[in-house]
Amino acid sequence: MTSVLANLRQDADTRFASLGWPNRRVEAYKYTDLSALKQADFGAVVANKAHDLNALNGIEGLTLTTASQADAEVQAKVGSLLPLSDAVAAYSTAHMDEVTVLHVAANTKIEQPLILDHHRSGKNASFPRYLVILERGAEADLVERYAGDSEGLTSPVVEVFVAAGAHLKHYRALSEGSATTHLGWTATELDRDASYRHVALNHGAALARHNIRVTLAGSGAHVDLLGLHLLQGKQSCDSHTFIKHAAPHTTSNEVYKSVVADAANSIFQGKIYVAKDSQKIEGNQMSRGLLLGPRARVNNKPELEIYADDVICSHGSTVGALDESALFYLRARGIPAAKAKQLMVEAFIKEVLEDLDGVSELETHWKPLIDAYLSSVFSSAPDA
Amino acid sequence: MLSIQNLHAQIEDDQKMILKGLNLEINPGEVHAIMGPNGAGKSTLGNVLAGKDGYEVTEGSVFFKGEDLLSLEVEERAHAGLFLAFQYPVEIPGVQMLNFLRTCTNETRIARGLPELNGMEFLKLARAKAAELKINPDMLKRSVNSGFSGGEKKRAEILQMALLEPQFAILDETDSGLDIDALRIVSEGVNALRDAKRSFLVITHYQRLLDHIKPDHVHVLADGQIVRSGGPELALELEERGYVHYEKAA
Repeated sequence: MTSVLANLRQDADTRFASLGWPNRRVEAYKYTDLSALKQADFGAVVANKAHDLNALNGIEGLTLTTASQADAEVQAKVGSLLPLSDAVAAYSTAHMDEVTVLHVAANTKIEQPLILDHHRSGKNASFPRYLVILERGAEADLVERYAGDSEGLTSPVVEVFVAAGAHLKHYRALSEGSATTHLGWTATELDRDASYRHVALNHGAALARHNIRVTLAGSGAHVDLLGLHLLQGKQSCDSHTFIKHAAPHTTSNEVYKSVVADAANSIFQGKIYVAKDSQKIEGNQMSRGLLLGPRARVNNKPELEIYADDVICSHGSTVGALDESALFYLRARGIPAAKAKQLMVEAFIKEVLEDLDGVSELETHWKPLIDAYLSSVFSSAPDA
Repeated sequence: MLSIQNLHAQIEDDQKMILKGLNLEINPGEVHAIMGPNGAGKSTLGNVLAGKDGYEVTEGSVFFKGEDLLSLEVEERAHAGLFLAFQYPVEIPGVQMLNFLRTCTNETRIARGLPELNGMEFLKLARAKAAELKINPDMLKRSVNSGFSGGEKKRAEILQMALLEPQFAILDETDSGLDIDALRIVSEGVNALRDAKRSFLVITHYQRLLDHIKPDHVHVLADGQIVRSGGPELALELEERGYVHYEKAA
């Protein structure tokens, strides 16, 4: 590890020592109390890289390297999008080992998805760390997967730079087992006329927290943040998003949907921030929760913080149960109750998934996860 | 076919008694009309027969083809051959009409021991039935009842009936919200399904529907009971004299 990275790690360690795990009094963690992690024993730190990284070797237009091997300009990007005032960001950075760098050359379109596949078991902790750079006019799809049945901690950080006129689609699926703690970060900066689409499927882990921070730094940049929470048992999942319109003529669109069964707990906190001179921006946000049982919980907290005066911003949030009259209608047509509920849940989540037709990641990895969730929820408790 | 005896039902929440000892016998192939003033319990009767939550039967019995109807789940009643055409068909955004129709047709076929229809077979069937009802095939691609006009919703109800081939259909105020052309199309759709084994219960406030769907028997429902029964001429009399004699206060 170079001195730049070692210094960053030391700095983060110091920051975390003073921050500690946040409790509910910390506003950003109002619905996800991490103070109990003080006593947690996650075991030894293990492999912090995706397996199969070698599959990325030899893709034309992609340079796969590590931050230690990269030049000073690339090294300086590590940690630059991540606020160390956040305890999770500090903790993960304090434990980072090497940083894997995926660097896509200018004006290159990479057809095959860049897959970062993580699968772990046992009692241990892992801190995968990536830096993804798309140079001017580049195009790529990034796939992140977290699976396995670890009893420990997964705390990945992905920092993404999308240069002028470049386009990145990013699909992130969390399906770790019911004993895993997952504390993740995604931080992205978009330059002029760049676009970024982040789609998250949060289906696994006992306790999950995913922070997403997107900075629209150049005029004409656009971001879509789409997310699903499919929760059951005693799972708790918190998606915490922050979109910063730091330049004029930037646009954002955000849709998060939660389906919550049993005694699970879904949290969505989304803030749209418009800087003082960011005129002519548009930001729209919608969060919806669907409760499948009397003990299920949804906490949605939309926030707007606007310092410019010529903007269009909207946010909406709803939480409710399945529509009883629609359920009766379907059953009166001979559709059994469990199947009718499943149809309605599929309709509810469709808005997040409908633009993804033809995305192979959705077909091969997401559909089986979604189907498994639906059949588990509707077969174990048909009358819930 | 259907035998209702001394049926008493109340709304669960406020324990308000709506049906107060209703008796009705419907034989195979018969069309019965139930008319009556607002609040008489007409829609409650349809909902109780279909099994909607929120109603409690406190007394009486309903037998459908010799089976205790009230002990069946909502979907089991549909499988047994009961169909309720809704007064207000429910909009279900995100559930595609075609997918919905295929699911309900196949679930019903499975329950009746018939083989499922595959995608192509079903599409052909649905298109043919839709054409008979002058339903635009584009409607099949839209979400269930979402953004449909009043006439489109009612025609979609009849399409579902045609696909599910029930033995006993309840038409709950199917004429409400229909213009004269839609009323004719819907009525033709119902008449096409009339045969010696299939029975109908037509719930309506107005006589005009009965010009198109000719009933064998007409009943007046007032304050939770059938207070008068007769032939088609009774509907004409009601049209002329109104329900004023049957209002609660009377």
